[in-house]
Amino acid sequence: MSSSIEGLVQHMQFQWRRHEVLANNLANVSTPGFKRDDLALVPDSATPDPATANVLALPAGGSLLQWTDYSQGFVQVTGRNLDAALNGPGFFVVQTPAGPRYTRAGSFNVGANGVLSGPGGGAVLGQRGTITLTSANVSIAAGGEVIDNGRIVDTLRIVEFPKPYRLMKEGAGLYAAADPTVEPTPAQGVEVAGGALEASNVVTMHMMVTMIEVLRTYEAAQRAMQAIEQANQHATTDIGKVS
Amino acid sequence: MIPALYSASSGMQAQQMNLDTIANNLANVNTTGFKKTRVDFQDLLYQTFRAPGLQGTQGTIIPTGIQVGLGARPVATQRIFSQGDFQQTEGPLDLVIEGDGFFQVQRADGSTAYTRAGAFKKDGTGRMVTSDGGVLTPNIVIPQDAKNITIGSDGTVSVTLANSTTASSLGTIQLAQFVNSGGLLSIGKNLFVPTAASGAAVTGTPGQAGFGTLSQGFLELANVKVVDEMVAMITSQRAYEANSKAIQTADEMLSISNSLRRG
Repeated sequence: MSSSIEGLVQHMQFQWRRHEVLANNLANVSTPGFKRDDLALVPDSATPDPATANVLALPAGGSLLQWTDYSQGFVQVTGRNLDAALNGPGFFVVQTPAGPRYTRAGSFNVGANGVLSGPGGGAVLGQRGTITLTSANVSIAAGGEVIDNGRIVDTLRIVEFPKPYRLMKEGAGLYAAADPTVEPTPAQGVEVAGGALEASNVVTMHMMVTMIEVLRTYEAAQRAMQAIEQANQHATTDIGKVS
Repeated sequence: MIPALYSASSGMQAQQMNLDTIANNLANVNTTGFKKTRVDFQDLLYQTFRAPGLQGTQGTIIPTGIQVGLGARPVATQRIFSQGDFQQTEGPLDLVIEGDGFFQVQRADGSTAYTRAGAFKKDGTGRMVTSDGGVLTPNIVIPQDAKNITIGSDGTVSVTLANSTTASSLGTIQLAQFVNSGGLLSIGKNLFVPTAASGAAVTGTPGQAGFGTLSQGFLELANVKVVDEMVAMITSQRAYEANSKAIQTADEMLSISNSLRRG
Protein backbone atom coordinates (compact mmCIF):
# COMPACT_ATOMS: atom_id res chain seq x y z
CA MET A 1 0.00 0.00 0.00
CA SER A 2 1.31 3.45 -0.74
CA SER A 3 2.52 5.44 2.23
CA SER A 4 0.09 8.24 1.50
CA ILE A 5 -2.86 5.87 1.85
CA GLU A 6 -1.40 4.54 5.07
CA GLY A 7 -1.16 8.09 6.39
CA LEU A 8 -4.78 8.71 5.51
CA VAL A 9 -5.87 5.51 7.26
CA GLN A 10 -4.06 6.71 10.40
CA HIS A 11 -5.80 10.01 10.06
CA MET A 12 -9.23 8.43 9.76
CA GLN A 13 -8.51 6.21 12.74
CA PHE A 14 -7.54 9.26 14.74
CA GLN A 15 -10.75 11.08 13.78
CA TRP A 16 -12.72 8.03 14.81
CA ARG A 17 -10.99 7.88 18.20
CA ARG A 18 -11.50 11.60 18.68
CA HIS A 19 -15.19 11.13 18.03
CA GLU A 20 -15.27 8.44 20.74
CA VAL A 21 -13.80 10.95 23.15
CA LEU A 22 -16.33 13.61 22.10
CA ALA A 23 -19.23 11.14 22.47
CA ASN A 24 -18.06 10.37 26.00
CA ASN A 25 -17.92 14.10 26.79
CA LEU A 26 -21.46 14.55 25.55
CA ALA A 27 -22.71 11.52 27.50
CA ASN A 28 -21.29 13.21 30.61
CA VAL A 29 -22.75 16.66 30.05
CA SER A 30 -24.83 16.18 33.23
CA THR A 31 -22.19 14.37 35.31
CA PRO A 32 -21.15 16.55 38.28
CA GLY A 33 -17.41 17.18 38.52
CA PHE A 34 -16.74 15.76 35.04
CA LYS A 35 -13.81 17.24 33.09
CA ARG A 36 -13.82 17.04 29.32
CA ASP A 37 -11.16 15.21 27.33
CA ASP A 38 -9.88 15.88 23.84
CA LEU A 39 -7.41 14.37 21.42
CA ALA A 40 -5.13 15.96 18.86
CA LEU A 41 -2.92 14.53 16.15
CA VAL A 42 0.44 16.22 16.20
CA PRO A 43 2.71 15.85 13.19
CA ASP A 44 6.16 14.53 14.06
CA SER A 45 7.86 17.67 12.76
CA ALA A 46 6.36 19.73 15.55
CA THR A 47 8.08 18.92 18.81
CA PRO A 48 5.42 18.83 21.50
CA ASP A 49 6.26 20.41 24.82
CA PRO A 50 6.96 17.39 27.03
CA ALA A 51 5.48 19.20 30.00
CA THR A 52 2.01 19.39 28.54
CA ALA A 53 1.90 16.80 25.81
CA ASN A 54 1.53 13.10 25.70
CA VAL A 55 3.21 11.37 22.84
CA LEU A 56 2.03 8.14 21.36
CA ALA A 57 4.10 7.49 18.30
CA LEU A 58 2.18 6.40 15.26
CA PRO A 59 4.00 4.52 12.55
CA ALA A 60 2.96 6.86 9.77
CA GLY A 61 4.34 10.08 11.08
CA GLY A 62 1.93 11.52 13.61
CA SER A 63 1.55 11.47 17.37
CA LEU A 64 -1.64 11.32 19.40
CA LEU A 65 -1.93 13.79 22.19
CA GLN A 66 -4.70 13.63 24.76
CA TRP A 67 -5.46 16.10 27.42
CA THR A 68 -8.11 16.71 30.00
CA ASP A 69 -9.46 20.20 30.43
CA TYR A 70 -9.48 20.71 34.20
CA SER A 71 -11.11 24.14 33.99
CA GLN A 72 -13.72 25.01 36.57
CA GLY A 73 -17.29 23.91 35.94
CA PHE A 74 -19.95 26.27 37.16
CA VAL A 75 -21.20 25.83 40.70
CA GLN A 76 -24.83 24.84 40.71
CA VAL A 77 -26.84 25.22 43.91
CA THR A 78 -28.79 22.07 44.76
CA GLY A 79 -29.97 22.73 48.30
CA ARG A 80 -28.90 19.24 49.38
CA ASN A 81 -26.87 19.46 52.58
CA LEU A 82 -24.39 16.69 51.66
CA ASP A 83 -23.47 18.21 48.29
CA ALA A 84 -20.17 20.05 48.05
CA ALA A 85 -18.62 21.81 45.07
CA LEU A 86 -15.00 22.88 44.77
CA ASN A 87 -14.51 26.41 43.55
CA GLY A 88 -10.83 26.50 42.63
CA PRO A 89 -8.16 23.88 42.05
CA GLY A 90 -7.99 20.63 43.99
CA PHE A 91 -9.71 17.36 44.69
CA PHE A 92 -11.60 15.65 47.49
CA VAL A 93 -9.94 12.45 48.70
CA VAL A 94 -11.90 9.20 48.75
CA GLN A 95 -10.61 6.03 50.37
CA THR A 96 -10.86 2.90 48.21
CA PRO A 97 -9.45 -0.62 48.64
CA ALA A 98 -6.92 0.27 45.92
CA GLY A 99 -5.69 3.35 47.78
CA PRO A 100 -6.70 7.01 47.82
CA ARG A 101 -8.65 8.30 44.85
CA TYR A 102 -9.38 11.91 43.98
CA THR A 103 -12.63 13.45 42.84
CA ARG A 104 -14.48 16.69 42.23
CA ALA A 105 -17.87 14.95 42.25
CA GLY A 106 -19.16 16.12 45.63
CA SER A 107 -22.51 14.37 45.88
CA PHE A 108 -21.72 12.73 49.21
CA ASN A 109 -23.80 10.24 51.16
CA VAL A 110 -23.95 8.91 54.68
CA GLY A 111 -24.04 5.19 55.32
CA ALA A 112 -26.10 3.61 58.10
CA ASN A 113 -22.88 3.56 60.16
CA GLY A 114 -22.72 7.35 59.83
CA VAL A 115 -19.57 7.43 57.68
CA LEU A 116 -19.52 10.14 55.01
CA SER A 117 -18.93 8.49 51.64
CA GLY A 118 -18.10 9.78 48.19
CA PRO A 119 -18.52 8.53 44.63
CA GLY A 120 -18.00 4.79 44.36
CA GLY A 121 -18.99 4.36 48.01
CA GLY A 122 -15.56 4.90 49.57
CA ALA A 123 -15.17 7.06 52.66
CA VAL A 124 -14.45 10.75 52.11
CA LEU A 125 -11.38 11.70 54.08
CA GLY A 126 -11.01 14.61 56.42
CA GLN A 127 -7.84 15.86 58.10
CA ARG A 128 -8.18 13.10 60.70
CA GLY A 129 -9.30 10.28 58.43
CA THR A 130 -12.84 9.08 57.84
CA ILE A 131 -15.67 11.33 58.99
CA THR A 132 -18.42 9.83 61.13
CA LEU A 133 -21.65 11.75 61.51
CA THR A 134 -24.09 11.29 64.35
CA SER A 135 -27.05 13.45 63.37
CA ALA A 136 -29.07 14.26 60.29
CA ASN A 137 -28.34 17.94 60.80
CA VAL A 138 -25.14 18.19 58.75
CA SER A 139 -23.76 21.00 56.62
CA ILE A 140 -20.48 21.74 54.86
CA ALA A 141 -18.90 25.19 55.27
CA ALA A 142 -16.69 27.24 52.94
CA GLY A 143 -13.42 26.02 54.43
CA GLY A 144 -14.53 22.40 54.02
CA GLU A 145 -15.59 22.11 57.67
CA VAL A 146 -18.17 19.37 58.21
CA ILE A 147 -20.64 20.64 60.77
CA ASP A 148 -22.66 17.98 62.57
CA ASN A 149 -25.39 19.38 64.81
CA GLY A 150 -23.58 22.70 65.26
CA ARG A 151 -20.20 21.14 66.00
CA ILE A 152 -17.25 20.95 63.57
CA VAL A 153 -16.33 17.26 63.41
CA ASP A 154 -13.59 17.50 60.81
CA THR A 155 -12.40 19.46 57.79
CA LEU A 156 -12.51 17.84 54.36
CA ARG A 157 -9.13 17.01 52.93
CA ILE A 158 -8.66 18.90 49.66
CA VAL A 159 -5.47 18.17 47.80
CA GLU A 160 -3.63 19.41 44.75
CA PHE A 161 -1.05 17.86 42.41
CA PRO A 162 1.80 19.45 40.50
CA LYS A 163 0.59 20.65 37.11
CA PRO A 164 0.17 19.27 34.56
CA TYR A 165 -1.84 16.67 36.45
CA ARG A 166 -0.73 13.11 35.88
CA LEU A 167 -4.02 11.52 36.73
CA MET A 168 -5.96 8.62 35.31
CA LYS A 169 -9.73 8.58 35.10
CA GLU A 170 -11.19 5.49 36.66
CA GLY A 171 -14.86 6.19 36.05
CA ALA A 172 -17.43 7.09 38.72
CA GLY A 173 -15.81 10.52 38.89
CA LEU A 174 -12.63 9.14 40.46
CA TYR A 175 -9.05 9.91 39.49
CA ALA A 176 -5.99 7.90 40.42
CA ALA A 177 -2.48 9.31 40.54
CA ALA A 178 -0.57 7.80 37.61
CA ASP A 179 2.58 7.88 39.67
CA PRO A 180 1.74 6.81 43.25
CA THR A 181 5.03 8.20 44.51
CA VAL A 182 3.85 11.74 43.81
CA GLU A 183 2.34 12.92 47.08
CA PRO A 184 -0.48 15.44 46.78
CA THR A 185 -0.18 18.66 48.73
CA PRO A 186 -2.97 20.59 50.50
CA ALA A 187 -4.80 22.70 47.90
CA GLN A 188 -4.45 26.48 48.08
CA GLY A 189 -6.98 29.08 46.98
CA VAL A 190 -9.94 26.73 46.87
CA GLU A 191 -13.33 27.29 48.41
CA VAL A 192 -15.96 24.70 49.20
CA ALA A 193 -19.56 25.50 48.31
CA GLY A 194 -21.85 23.43 50.53
CA GLY A 195 -25.29 22.59 49.15
CA ALA A 196 -23.99 22.87 45.59
CA LEU A 197 -22.41 20.70 42.92
CA GLU A 198 -19.82 21.54 40.28
CA ALA A 199 -21.44 21.01 36.89
CA SER A 200 -19.66 19.15 34.10
CA ASN A 201 -17.38 21.48 32.12
CA VAL A 202 -18.59 20.06 28.79
CA VAL A 203 -20.06 22.78 26.59
CA THR A 204 -22.54 21.24 24.16
CA MET A 205 -22.04 23.85 21.45
CA HIS A 206 -18.28 23.35 21.52
CA MET A 207 -18.77 19.59 21.17
CA MET A 208 -21.14 20.07 18.22
CA VAL A 209 -18.64 22.23 16.35
CA THR A 210 -15.83 19.77 17.05
CA MET A 211 -18.02 16.91 15.91
CA ILE A 212 -18.64 18.64 12.56
CA GLU A 213 -14.90 19.19 12.22
CA VAL A 214 -14.21 15.51 12.93
CA LEU A 215 -16.85 14.34 10.49
CA ARG A 216 -15.70 16.56 7.63
CA THR A 217 -12.01 15.78 8.16
CA TYR A 218 -12.91 12.11 8.12
CA GLU A 219 -14.81 12.63 4.88
CA ALA A 220 -11.96 14.58 3.32
CA ALA A 221 -9.52 11.77 4.12
CA GLN A 222 -11.89 9.32 2.50
CA ARG A 223 -12.11 11.48 -0.63
CA ALA A 224 -8.34 11.74 -0.78
CA MET A 225 -8.05 7.97 -0.54
CA GLN A 226 -10.52 7.56 -3.36
CA ALA A 227 -8.53 10.00 -5.51
CA ILE A 228 -5.33 8.04 -4.89
CA GLU A 229 -7.11 4.83 -5.64
CA GLN A 230 -8.40 6.29 -8.88
CA ALA A 231 -4.90 7.36 -9.85
CA ASN A 232 -3.62 3.86 -9.06
CA GLN A 233 -6.34 2.35 -11.14
CA HIS A 234 -5.40 4.64 -13.98
CA ALA A 235 -1.77 3.59 -13.63
CA THR A 236 -2.52 -0.12 -13.63
CA THR A 237 -5.12 -0.23 -16.36
CA ASP A 238 -4.46 2.66 -18.74
CA ILE A 239 -0.74 3.35 -18.76
CA GLY A 240 1.10 1.10 -21.16
CA LYS A 241 -2.06 0.03 -22.87
CA VAL A 242 -1.47 -0.58 -26.55
CA SER A 243 -4.26 1.02 -28.33
CA MET B 1 -15.34 1.00 16.49
CA ILE B 2 -18.59 0.88 18.38
CA PRO B 3 -17.79 2.79 21.65
CA ALA B 4 -18.91 6.17 20.31
CA LEU B 5 -22.36 4.78 19.57
CA TYR B 6 -22.68 3.18 22.99
CA SER B 7 -21.30 6.18 24.89
CA ALA B 8 -23.89 8.36 23.22
CA SER B 9 -26.71 5.91 23.84
CA SER B 10 -25.72 5.65 27.51
CA GLY B 11 -25.93 9.45 27.62
CA MET B 12 -29.40 9.34 26.09
CA GLN B 13 -30.59 6.71 28.56
CA ALA B 14 -29.24 8.78 31.43
CA GLN B 15 -31.08 11.87 30.18
CA GLN B 16 -34.23 9.81 29.72
CA MET B 17 -34.08 8.84 33.39
CA ASN B 18 -33.42 12.47 34.28
CA LEU B 19 -36.60 13.48 32.45
CA ASP B 20 -38.60 10.73 34.17
CA THR B 21 -37.49 12.09 37.53
CA ILE B 22 -38.26 15.69 36.60
CA ALA B 23 -41.71 14.64 35.39
CA ASN B 24 -42.41 12.94 38.71
CA ASN B 25 -41.25 16.03 40.62
CA LEU B 26 -43.54 18.23 38.55
CA ALA B 27 -46.46 15.81 38.94
CA ASN B 28 -46.09 16.14 42.71
CA VAL B 29 -45.79 19.90 42.86
CA ASN B 30 -49.00 20.04 44.91
CA THR B 31 -48.40 16.94 47.02
CA THR B 32 -48.20 17.76 50.72
CA GLY B 33 -44.84 16.89 52.25
CA PHE B 34 -43.39 15.70 48.92
CA LYS B 35 -39.61 15.79 48.62
CA LYS B 36 -38.10 16.14 45.18
CA THR B 37 -35.56 13.71 43.78
CA ARG B 38 -32.68 14.19 41.42
CA VAL B 39 -30.59 11.72 39.48
CA ASP B 40 -26.86 11.53 40.14
CA PHE B 41 -24.70 10.69 37.15
CA GLN B 42 -21.21 9.27 36.96
CA ASP B 43 -18.83 8.59 34.13
CA LEU B 44 -18.40 4.92 33.19
CA LEU B 45 -15.15 3.01 32.92
CA TYR B 46 -12.29 4.22 30.76
CA GLN B 47 -10.45 2.15 28.20
CA THR B 48 -6.80 2.94 28.73
CA PHE B 49 -4.75 2.79 25.56
CA ARG B 50 -1.69 4.20 27.18
CA ALA B 51 -1.16 4.96 30.85
CA PRO B 52 0.14 8.36 31.84
CA GLY B 53 3.53 8.74 33.43
CA LEU B 54 5.36 6.38 31.12
CA GLN B 55 8.86 7.02 29.93
CA GLY B 56 8.95 8.68 26.53
CA THR B 57 11.50 7.98 23.80
CA GLN B 58 13.86 10.83 24.59
CA GLY B 59 13.82 10.32 28.33
CA THR B 60 10.75 12.49 28.73
CA ILE B 61 7.92 11.56 31.03
CA ILE B 62 4.56 11.36 29.35
CA PRO B 63 2.20 13.25 31.62
CA THR B 64 -1.17 12.02 30.39
CA GLY B 65 -2.29 8.78 28.87
CA ILE B 66 -4.82 8.01 26.24
CA GLN B 67 -8.07 7.01 27.78
CA VAL B 68 -11.38 6.76 26.04
CA GLY B 69 -14.43 6.88 28.27
CA LEU B 70 -17.40 4.64 27.69
CA GLY B 71 -20.22 6.99 28.58
CA ALA B 72 -22.31 7.89 31.60
CA ARG B 73 -24.75 6.16 33.87
CA PRO B 74 -27.25 7.15 36.52
CA VAL B 75 -25.98 5.88 39.88
CA ALA B 76 -28.52 7.13 42.37
CA THR B 77 -31.69 9.08 42.76
CA GLN B 78 -31.11 11.47 45.62
CA ARG B 79 -34.13 12.62 47.53
CA ILE B 80 -33.64 16.17 48.71
CA PHE B 81 -35.12 16.70 52.14
CA SER B 82 -34.99 20.47 52.14
CA GLN B 83 -37.83 22.28 53.87
CA GLY B 84 -40.91 22.98 51.79
CA ASP B 85 -42.93 26.17 52.10
CA PHE B 86 -45.77 26.37 54.62
CA GLN B 87 -49.39 26.72 53.69
CA GLN B 88 -51.86 27.93 56.26
CA THR B 89 -54.94 25.72 56.38
CA GLU B 90 -56.47 26.39 59.84
CA GLY B 91 -57.13 22.64 60.07
CA PRO B 92 -56.63 21.70 63.75
CA LEU B 93 -54.95 18.43 62.80
CA ASP B 94 -52.79 19.84 60.02
CA LEU B 95 -49.17 19.83 61.15
CA VAL B 96 -45.84 20.81 59.69
CA ILE B 97 -42.45 19.83 60.96
CA GLU B 98 -40.19 22.84 60.95
CA GLY B 99 -36.78 21.26 60.78
CA ASP B 100 -35.71 17.65 60.75
CA GLY B 101 -37.89 14.64 61.53
CA PHE B 102 -40.68 12.43 60.30
CA PHE B 103 -44.10 11.50 61.61
CA GLN B 104 -44.40 7.79 62.38
CA VAL B 105 -47.33 6.00 60.82
CA GLN B 106 -48.44 2.42 61.35
CA ARG B 107 -49.07 0.59 58.11
CA ALA B 108 -51.73 -2.08 57.56
CA ASP B 109 -49.15 -4.86 58.08
CA GLY B 110 -48.14 -3.48 61.48
CA SER B 111 -44.78 -2.06 60.35
CA THR B 112 -43.92 1.61 60.75
CA ALA B 113 -43.55 4.00 57.84
CA TYR B 114 -42.41 7.62 58.01
CA THR B 115 -43.88 10.73 56.43
CA ARG B 116 -43.51 14.51 56.29
CA ALA B 117 -47.13 14.93 55.20
CA GLY B 118 -48.90 16.14 58.31
CA ALA B 119 -52.48 16.29 57.02
CA PHE B 120 -54.00 14.20 59.79
CA LYS B 121 -57.68 13.33 60.23
CA LYS B 122 -59.77 11.64 62.87
CA ASP B 123 -61.07 8.17 62.13
CA GLY B 124 -64.34 6.66 63.43
CA THR B 125 -62.82 5.90 66.83
CA GLY B 126 -61.15 9.31 67.21
CA ARG B 127 -57.62 8.15 66.40
CA MET B 128 -55.33 10.52 64.52
CA VAL B 129 -54.73 8.97 61.08
CA THR B 130 -53.25 10.01 57.74
CA SER B 131 -55.42 10.59 54.70
CA ASP B 132 -54.91 6.91 53.82
CA GLY B 133 -55.93 5.70 57.26
CA GLY B 134 -52.44 4.99 58.57
CA VAL B 135 -52.48 5.40 62.35
CA LEU B 136 -50.12 7.95 63.88
CA THR B 137 -47.65 6.33 66.31
CA PRO B 138 -47.68 6.76 69.31
CA ASN B 139 -51.37 7.14 68.79
CA ILE B 140 -53.43 10.04 69.99
CA VAL B 141 -57.14 9.34 70.54
CA ILE B 142 -59.30 12.43 70.50
CA PRO B 143 -62.50 12.04 72.53
CA GLN B 144 -65.77 12.75 70.75
CA ASP B 145 -66.70 15.67 72.96
CA ALA B 146 -63.32 17.35 72.60
CA LYS B 147 -63.15 20.97 71.63
CA ASN B 148 -60.27 23.28 70.91
CA ILE B 149 -57.60 20.81 69.94
CA THR B 150 -54.23 22.42 70.60
CA ILE B 151 -50.95 20.93 69.45
CA GLY B 152 -47.89 22.62 70.87
CA SER B 153 -44.59 23.09 69.10
CA ASP B 154 -43.21 20.33 71.34
CA GLY B 155 -45.90 17.91 70.10
CA THR B 156 -48.17 17.88 73.18
CA VAL B 157 -51.81 17.45 72.18
CA SER B 158 -54.34 18.95 74.53
CA VAL B 159 -58.07 19.42 74.28
CA THR B 160 -60.84 21.05 76.23
CA LEU B 161 -63.65 18.62 76.97
CA ALA B 162 -67.29 19.69 76.71
CA ASN B 163 -67.95 19.51 80.48
CA SER B 164 -64.70 21.18 81.49
CA THR B 165 -63.06 24.56 81.23
CA THR B 166 -59.45 23.43 81.62
CA ALA B 167 -57.35 21.79 78.96
CA SER B 168 -56.34 18.18 79.41
CA SER B 169 -53.36 16.55 77.74
CA LEU B 170 -53.88 13.58 75.43
CA GLY B 171 -50.25 12.71 74.85
CA THR B 172 -47.25 13.82 72.83
CA ILE B 173 -46.54 13.33 69.16
CA GLN B 174 -43.11 11.79 68.66
CA LEU B 175 -40.88 12.31 65.65
CA ALA B 176 -38.35 9.97 64.10
CA GLN B 177 -34.96 10.74 62.59
CA PHE B 178 -32.41 8.87 60.53
CA VAL B 179 -28.66 9.26 60.25
CA ASN B 180 -29.04 9.07 56.47
CA SER B 181 -32.53 10.12 55.45
CA GLY B 182 -31.30 9.94 51.83
CA GLY B 183 -31.22 6.16 52.26
CA LEU B 184 -34.96 5.90 52.95
CA LEU B 185 -37.05 4.00 50.44
CA SER B 186 -40.10 5.74 49.00
CA ILE B 187 -43.12 3.48 48.90
CA GLY B 188 -45.59 6.03 47.54
CA LYS B 189 -48.49 7.68 49.37
CA ASN B 190 -45.95 10.11 50.88
CA LEU B 191 -44.46 7.29 52.94
CA PHE B 192 -40.87 6.23 53.46
CA VAL B 193 -39.53 3.04 54.98
CA PRO B 194 -36.07 2.55 56.49
CA THR B 195 -33.39 0.50 54.75
CA ALA B 196 -29.94 -0.75 55.69
CA ALA B 197 -28.59 2.49 54.17
CA SER B 198 -30.78 4.84 56.18
CA GLY B 199 -30.09 3.23 59.54
CA ALA B 200 -32.71 2.63 62.22
CA ALA B 201 -35.11 5.35 63.30
CA VAL B 202 -34.23 7.39 66.37
CA THR B 203 -37.32 8.83 68.01
CA GLY B 204 -37.61 11.97 70.04
CA THR B 205 -39.85 14.79 71.12
CA PRO B 206 -40.28 17.73 68.76
CA GLY B 207 -37.93 20.55 69.70
CA GLN B 208 -35.39 18.22 71.29
CA ALA B 209 -31.80 18.56 70.09
CA GLY B 210 -31.76 17.94 66.37
CA PHE B 211 -35.51 17.49 66.00
CA GLY B 212 -37.78 20.01 64.33
CA THR B 213 -40.75 21.66 65.99
CA LEU B 214 -44.43 21.34 65.06
CA SER B 215 -46.77 24.06 63.86
CA GLN B 216 -50.49 23.48 64.00
CA GLY B 217 -52.78 24.68 61.22
CA PHE B 218 -50.19 24.51 58.49
CA LEU B 219 -49.18 22.01 55.85
CA GLU B 220 -45.76 21.59 54.27
CA LEU B 221 -45.90 22.07 50.52
CA ALA B 222 -43.77 20.06 48.13
CA ASN B 223 -40.20 21.40 47.92
CA VAL B 224 -40.41 21.27 44.11
CA LYS B 225 -39.64 24.61 42.43
CA VAL B 226 -41.44 24.63 39.10
CA VAL B 227 -38.99 27.02 37.45
CA ASP B 228 -35.99 24.91 38.50
CA GLU B 229 -37.64 21.78 37.13
CA MET B 230 -38.48 23.54 33.86
CA VAL B 231 -34.88 24.63 33.42
CA ALA B 232 -33.70 21.10 34.25
CA MET B 233 -36.17 19.75 31.68
CA ILE B 234 -34.82 22.05 28.96
CA THR B 235 -31.18 21.21 29.66
CA SER B 236 -31.97 17.51 29.85
CA GLN B 237 -33.86 17.55 26.57
CA ARG B 238 -31.04 19.40 24.84
CA ALA B 239 -28.46 17.01 26.27
CA TYR B 240 -30.55 14.13 24.92
CA GLU B 241 -30.57 15.79 21.52
CA ALA B 242 -26.81 16.43 21.59
CA ASN B 243 -26.17 12.75 22.33
CA SER B 244 -28.40 11.75 19.43
CA LYS B 245 -26.24 13.97 17.21
CA ALA B 246 -23.16 12.06 18.38
CA ILE B 247 -24.87 8.87 17.21
CA GLN B 248 -25.73 10.46 13.87
CA THR B 249 -22.14 11.60 13.43
CA ALA B 250 -20.81 8.13 14.21
CA ASP B 251 -23.32 6.67 11.77
CA GLU B 252 -22.26 9.10 9.06
CA MET B 253 -18.60 8.29 9.66
CA LEU B 254 -19.34 4.59 9.33
CA SER B 255 -21.18 5.25 6.12
CA ILE B 256 -18.21 7.25 4.78
CA SER B 257 -15.78 4.43 5.54
CA ASN B 258 -18.16 1.90 4.01
CA SER B 259 -18.22 3.90 0.80
CA LEU B 260 -14.42 3.81 0.51
CA ARG B 261 -14.74 0.79 -1.72
CA ARG B 262 -16.81 1.80 -4.69
CA GLY B 263 -18.45 -0.41 -7.22
